[in-house]
Amino acid sequence: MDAATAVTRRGFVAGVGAGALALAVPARAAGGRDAAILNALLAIEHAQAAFYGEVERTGALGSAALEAARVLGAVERAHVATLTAALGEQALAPPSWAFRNPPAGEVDFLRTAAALEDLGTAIYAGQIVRLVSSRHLETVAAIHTVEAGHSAWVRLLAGAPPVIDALDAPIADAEATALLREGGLRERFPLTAAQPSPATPAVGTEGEGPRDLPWSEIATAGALCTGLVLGVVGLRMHAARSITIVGADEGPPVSQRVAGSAPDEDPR
Amino acid sequence: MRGVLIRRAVGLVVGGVGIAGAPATASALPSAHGDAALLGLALRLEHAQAALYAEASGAAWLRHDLREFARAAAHHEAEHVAVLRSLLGPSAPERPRVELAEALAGDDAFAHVAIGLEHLSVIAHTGRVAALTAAAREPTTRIASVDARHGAWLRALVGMTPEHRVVDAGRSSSEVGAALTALGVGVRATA
Repeated sequence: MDAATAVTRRGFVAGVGAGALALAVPARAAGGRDAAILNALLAIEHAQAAFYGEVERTGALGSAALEAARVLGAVERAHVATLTAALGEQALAPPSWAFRNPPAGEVDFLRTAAALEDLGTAIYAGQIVRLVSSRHLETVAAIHTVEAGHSAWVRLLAGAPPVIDALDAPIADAEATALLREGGLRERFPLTAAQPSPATPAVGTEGEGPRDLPWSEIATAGALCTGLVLGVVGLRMHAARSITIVGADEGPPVSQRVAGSAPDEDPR
Repeated sequence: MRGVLIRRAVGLVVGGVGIAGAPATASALPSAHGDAALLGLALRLEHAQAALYAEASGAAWLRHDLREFARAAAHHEAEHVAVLRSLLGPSAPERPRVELAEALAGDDAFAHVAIGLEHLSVIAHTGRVAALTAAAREPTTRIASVDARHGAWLRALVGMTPEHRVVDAGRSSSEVGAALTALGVGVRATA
């Protein structure tokens, strides 16, 4: 998708949204396992981009958190563009997103953002092992560590430990799908470390530490591919909003490398 | 001012190696040879990080927040070393001698070298990931993202946020080795 190709999907159309977390797609569907994996990662990037976009529009954030939302939103949109280009015609259309509860303030935003970035890091780690194409592997690995950096940055903004454990844990396909479909994202990825670590000073926070807050769960609309994928999580929504995914103005190295070439066929 | 100085210094090494320009990776099919090549390089980098953070953890002169980072990261790197040594098995080299030279000359020098080492771990992995068998790819991927977290943590501590990079483009082993030398860190075999 180039910068001139803005894709706009209007509103919330339950059951018709075209995007998909394609982790459940059989290996032979849609050009092989690699394409299914890239589409699954694309769905996560769409979710992140939509989340930050929503926060930019609606969030009452301090300057540090607002800067994070803007910068991370731009990076996730660039990841969307990169993966879309890598998939070519096999890229699934962007999903429509509706947010049951937009973040209620800065701490709420940071908690959800950290959980989304930790989910992204874990999903990438799980799928890197399964990819076959060298080109796709390098593309995906180059994004994976950026997601981890995002998590660390957001966690620091929240006054939380930026590292969870000595090794980041991957997440299984089924669990990732269930988290997005049924909720539980922030419980699965809390703002803690796996083991006691030195207290981490907050960077740029307004003096408010992480605490339990009501869920601001991401509701996903529609999303059926071959099998059950992103289900409808929240039917109660604040407003139907269109989400515009535009080509990114960042990330030329990978974007240029993958642009215009078709994804590899699964050799098996 | 601190951030500006470090930004410029790190840019010389990290920007020139890992961010600017086209990625120069050597794609290869997964193989035991590919595993050994990356695991050996990754182990050198992890030994360098572990040695740096072990020294920094006890350095009373080091800024408190950087010292706290070093203490936490030292534990992570020790585990990374153990995992990589286990993957290499009997062919794992003896613990190398790490020459840190200017890395402990002050807060800025420490941050500069630490940020560089973490970034080199990340882009070395990305550059070689396609040559790794699944058995080596899984643990090294889980290590690479933790080193990416370390890098982001350090950059936040020295005022180098926001995290605006879109990708951590991979680099070849030889480029990473050259950048390690340019950082002023020596990792010498003892066997």
